[in-house]
Amino acid sequence: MITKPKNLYLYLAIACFIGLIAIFIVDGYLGIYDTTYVTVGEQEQVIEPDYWLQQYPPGAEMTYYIGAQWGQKVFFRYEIDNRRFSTYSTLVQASLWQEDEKVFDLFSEEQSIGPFDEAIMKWTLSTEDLGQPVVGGSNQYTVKITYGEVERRIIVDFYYPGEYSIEKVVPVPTPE
Amino acid sequence: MRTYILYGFGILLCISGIGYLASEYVNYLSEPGKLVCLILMVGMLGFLGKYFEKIGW
Repeated sequence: MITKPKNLYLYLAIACFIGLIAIFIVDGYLGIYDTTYVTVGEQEQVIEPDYWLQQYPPGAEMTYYIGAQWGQKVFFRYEIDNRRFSTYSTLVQASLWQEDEKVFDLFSEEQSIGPFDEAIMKWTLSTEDLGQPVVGGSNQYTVKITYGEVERRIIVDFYYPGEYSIEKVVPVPTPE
Repeated sequence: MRTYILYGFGILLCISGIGYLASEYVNYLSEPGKLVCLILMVGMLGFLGKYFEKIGW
């Protein structure tokens, strides 16, 4: 005959508690997480890993928007946190895109991150490399950051302080 | 009486610990993970209630 332990329900409650903690650790903490820091002027914006998990509208890929004045440099600091028991090796790439065409590469480096360690990468986006701004048009660029099968998209919108403050290039008349 | 105070203290610590973990990591849980957490939470509170009922509370 099987006898019920005296504190059976207490043991079951403790088992549920241990299960909860285990799920938080295995499913919530362990894994590969990336955090992006973008600095424009004196203001730093942090894109936490959970930002990319949101889906508004449902099913849509998340994109982050940053505004910067034309001429300002945009500084990126990208951290990959390896919360696993093994070394994580991956190629991290950042590139600049406009209208689905690659403009140029910003960063590309093979990374090998030890268990419970992190890698920090830095690069800068400068409008000096972008040529002349489109007056009255779109000066939006997409910074794509990829590692493994993960792709992050950050849209940088360069705006003008005012149309008349832009130095306009007047063509020199050719002598006849 | 002292035993019950200790039990109460332990339960409060457990619940606050789970609350802290939830606030830190619930965003990173997968959908099945969230569901299992919910079931375990209901089970834990249910079993605790049953235990206290059995000991005469």
